[in-house]
Amino acid sequence: MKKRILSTQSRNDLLALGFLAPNLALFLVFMLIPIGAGIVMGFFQWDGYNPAEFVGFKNFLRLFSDKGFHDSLGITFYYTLLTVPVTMVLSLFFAMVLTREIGAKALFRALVFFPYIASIVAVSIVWQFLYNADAGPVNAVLRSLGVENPPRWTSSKDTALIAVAIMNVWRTVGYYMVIFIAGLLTIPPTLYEAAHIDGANLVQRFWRVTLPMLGPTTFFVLVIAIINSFQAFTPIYVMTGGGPGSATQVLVFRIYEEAFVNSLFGYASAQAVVLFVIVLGFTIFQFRWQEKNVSYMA
Amino acid sequence: MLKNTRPLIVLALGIFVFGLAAPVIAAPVTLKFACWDYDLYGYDKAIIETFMKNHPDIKVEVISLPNADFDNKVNIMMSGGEELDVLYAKSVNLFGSLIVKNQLMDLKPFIAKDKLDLAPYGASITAYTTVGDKVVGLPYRYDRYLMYYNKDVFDAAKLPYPAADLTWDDFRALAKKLTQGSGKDKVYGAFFAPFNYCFLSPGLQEGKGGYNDMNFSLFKEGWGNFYEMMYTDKSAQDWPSLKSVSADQTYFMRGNSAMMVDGTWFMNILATEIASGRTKIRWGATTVPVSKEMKAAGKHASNGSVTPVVMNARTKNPDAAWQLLKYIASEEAGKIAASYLVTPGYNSAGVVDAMVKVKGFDLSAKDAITKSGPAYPPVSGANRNAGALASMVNKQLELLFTQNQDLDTTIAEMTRLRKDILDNN
Repeated sequence: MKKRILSTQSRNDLLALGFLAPNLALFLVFMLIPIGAGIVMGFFQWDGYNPAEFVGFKNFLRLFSDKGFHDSLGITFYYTLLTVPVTMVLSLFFAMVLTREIGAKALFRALVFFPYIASIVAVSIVWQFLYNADAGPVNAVLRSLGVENPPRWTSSKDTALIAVAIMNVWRTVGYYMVIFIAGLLTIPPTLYEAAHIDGANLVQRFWRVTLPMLGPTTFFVLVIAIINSFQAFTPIYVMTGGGPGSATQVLVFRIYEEAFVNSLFGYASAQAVVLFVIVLGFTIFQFRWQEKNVSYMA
Repeated sequence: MLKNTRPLIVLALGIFVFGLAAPVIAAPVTLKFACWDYDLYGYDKAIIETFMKNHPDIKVEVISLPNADFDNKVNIMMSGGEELDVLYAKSVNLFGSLIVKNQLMDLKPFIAKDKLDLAPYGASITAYTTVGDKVVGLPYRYDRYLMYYNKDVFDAAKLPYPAADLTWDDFRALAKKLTQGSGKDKVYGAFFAPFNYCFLSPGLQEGKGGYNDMNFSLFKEGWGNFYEMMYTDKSAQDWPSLKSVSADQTYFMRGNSAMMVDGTWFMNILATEIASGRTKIRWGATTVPVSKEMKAAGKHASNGSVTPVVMNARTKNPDAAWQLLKYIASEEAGKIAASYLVTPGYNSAGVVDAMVKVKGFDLSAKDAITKSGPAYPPVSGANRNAGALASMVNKQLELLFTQNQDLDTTIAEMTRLRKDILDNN
């Protein structure tokens, strides 16, 4: 009888590694190495051409006194607050409506989802026109409703970020709706039947059955929506260019400007590291929170 | 036996000799050349094709980049190790960035070897491409600002075409007179494309420095007038309205604006559009208005820029690259550019003649170009902060013309933010 060289466990491990290898290789090359390089670059001063100069923590220390960076950070948090809660509420609302037995359900689902698959540059340009203060359809509707001085949307520093946030909510609601629909379909109908028999009304069934059962889905949507809001770039680049002034200069836009306009790759990398730490911190905090508060038991 | 093998030996010798000679009669040197919108307006294409016809030993591989993204893409290509040999330093930001990173070849040895005469470029322009004891580019284009006008609007208003001695106050008053009608039929006295460069003549035209060292109060006279034209006189469409529809200088060709300050490159666009039948505008041009102080001193000037053609310091074919660079900045290429109504860096009677001969060219533009005086770039000299300073001025300009900030605050903020940028970098 031949001796086995590897135990069953080891062979299984190797097999698993073999299956994972292509994905791991791509993750290593396109994610892990660039992230590592970005972190290392934060400790250098580099103009993108000449040899990089090691400057220790100088780039990171400069962030403490850089008002532009503080403003960008504040704008990014504000943008997250503007977009994430509204997106979650609306996408859950649409998911609940479009899981009910209504006519042309598939068509409505497709309509809500469509903005997400449309070109973000194209829709940003269209919204830029919609927001035209004098001739745009948005203000035309507001005027017809009796609003005498409608907002100047993208041309006012007070409303520009709100304008971008509205567009982004409209664009992403469909995506999160699909995730919520998937979550809603996993809730056993017997729970609703039991609640109904116990005399729970629609609102009570939502708070006592739907929401708790959707815990894992809601948690997933929250994490992804926050990460995405911290990474907002394209609609801002197209619609406002970070303006008026710096009113919509979120952190990713600022990082882009520092690196590719000002050729301060080291300083931009330091800011990217801070963004990475913030997003990571949020995500870890959310995971800790969900361990205590989210139930995966059906 | 020997007799039979002789042809084989001859053949083998032939192959051997050909093999030795092959490098001598090798394939032409291939140069990578970066420019913008190569196929769109035709002048670069004509220049490069003529060059290749005259230099069969050099093949030019053109990398055409979009106009709006040229600076960023070149920066990324150069940083990423793309082996560009010759390229245009399109903006003052890009030129400054290439200089401070030591990415440009010193052309002085080539100029000395060929005894190239720099006089036709003019002293002020060659000064722009001289850094310390190095010459890092030759002027390919020299663009300055003119004031374009629509003859039909002036004729309809029974007003004479604008003279070459307007002040910014006169410009505003004239625009007010020319503004007529309302709604879709409204004719505006002036048009401002919502790009920062169309607002920079006041201030920079004084010749008292650029963003890095000028007194920003010099912008006040012109910007104050522009602001009132948009929001008080309503003689020009406001910045936000135009930006929301992504308007650019081509809006002037719609025929509902009387005057527009824009660069000499717009002549080429006008000629192309008129030739294609897409517009029937009857245009003329004069010098850009000036401040009251400049008028009193009899001065004409505007903002503008020299576009140098430069060589990558890391080119593997410096001699061939020099041939291409030298040709692009030559009188022959200048005449080709001028025949497309592009103002070349090389200045000669032949170049002006080539421009005047173009169908659709208005002779008023010749006078305007001749009288225009120097055109000052937005940043004085090569400056590592050029990009950050330009970005800062753009943002402040936008805040002013979108009514988010008043003029005095804008000037004060620009001064404060400049200090921050210069102190920190």
